[in-house]
Amino acid sequence: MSFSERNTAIGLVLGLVGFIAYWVVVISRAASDELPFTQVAWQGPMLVVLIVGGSAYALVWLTGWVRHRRERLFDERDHEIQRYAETAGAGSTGAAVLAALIMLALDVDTFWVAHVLFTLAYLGSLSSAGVTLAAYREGVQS
Amino acid sequence: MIAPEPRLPRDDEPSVMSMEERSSWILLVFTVATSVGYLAVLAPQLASRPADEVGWVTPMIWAVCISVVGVVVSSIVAGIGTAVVLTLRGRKFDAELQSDSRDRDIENHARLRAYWLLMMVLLLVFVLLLSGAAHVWIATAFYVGLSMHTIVEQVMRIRAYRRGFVS
Repeated sequence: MSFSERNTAIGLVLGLVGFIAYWVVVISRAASDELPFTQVAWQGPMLVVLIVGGSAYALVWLTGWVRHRRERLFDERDHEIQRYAETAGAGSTGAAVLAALIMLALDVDTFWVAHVLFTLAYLGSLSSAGVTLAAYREGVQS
Repeated sequence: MIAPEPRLPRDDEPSVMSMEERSSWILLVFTVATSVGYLAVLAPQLASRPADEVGWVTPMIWAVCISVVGVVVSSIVAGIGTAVVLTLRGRKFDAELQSDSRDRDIENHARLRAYWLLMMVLLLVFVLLLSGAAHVWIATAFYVGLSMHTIVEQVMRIRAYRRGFVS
């Protein structure tokens, strides 16, 4: 398994765990306090997920990099797959950015702006990771 | 003895700037101009009244529209202009302006190297959203951050065209 394939696989698992854990916490808070969704204290959990998830992924990257420090990390195929997969997630991330700006302009509640941005950007990286793994297994049609 | 390769009459002429490099310049100019314009309109308002009362939506819509329309129109005008000039000089524009694998490599090179900035912008916006900042600040940081990303990417593309690059 190449460096970048391994990183993507671990990142996919980390992302799934973080995303599900976040929603479990927010939904259970809404249910237990009988509050409407938008009034739940969501800021703390989101910050924790972003920081813990981000640093865990950075740690995975770093350990891989240290273990393979005398080798070449990327070859032509890795670059090809990276390019191919990035386009798969770009649409969703772009939509997230546009939607967030429009919602800010319409003065929508911060809760919704943050969650639309969070969910769409997450889906973008999810599809890009899925396409990357599929490309390592089945090859790239270019 | 090997005979020297035959030299065609136009071999020594400089090659034409590719359409991709041209559109990169256009995008750079319009992004810089519209984001500076947006900030110039907004800065006095932000300085003089409370953040909640600043009307940032109209300036941003204008900035985005001017940028999109300007880029599209200038690209079309530049494309037609280049084709006309090349035809007048007796060169074949469709062959010379076609994009090749170098254009694609340069695009990927710049995109991959500017990607981290996009992620930084998203992170910054999240932090601003979480801290409950006024919408005008979030939107301005977002817009200026995205403009910076576009500017960095275009500068890297132009640099790669002019000075070469390692992919």
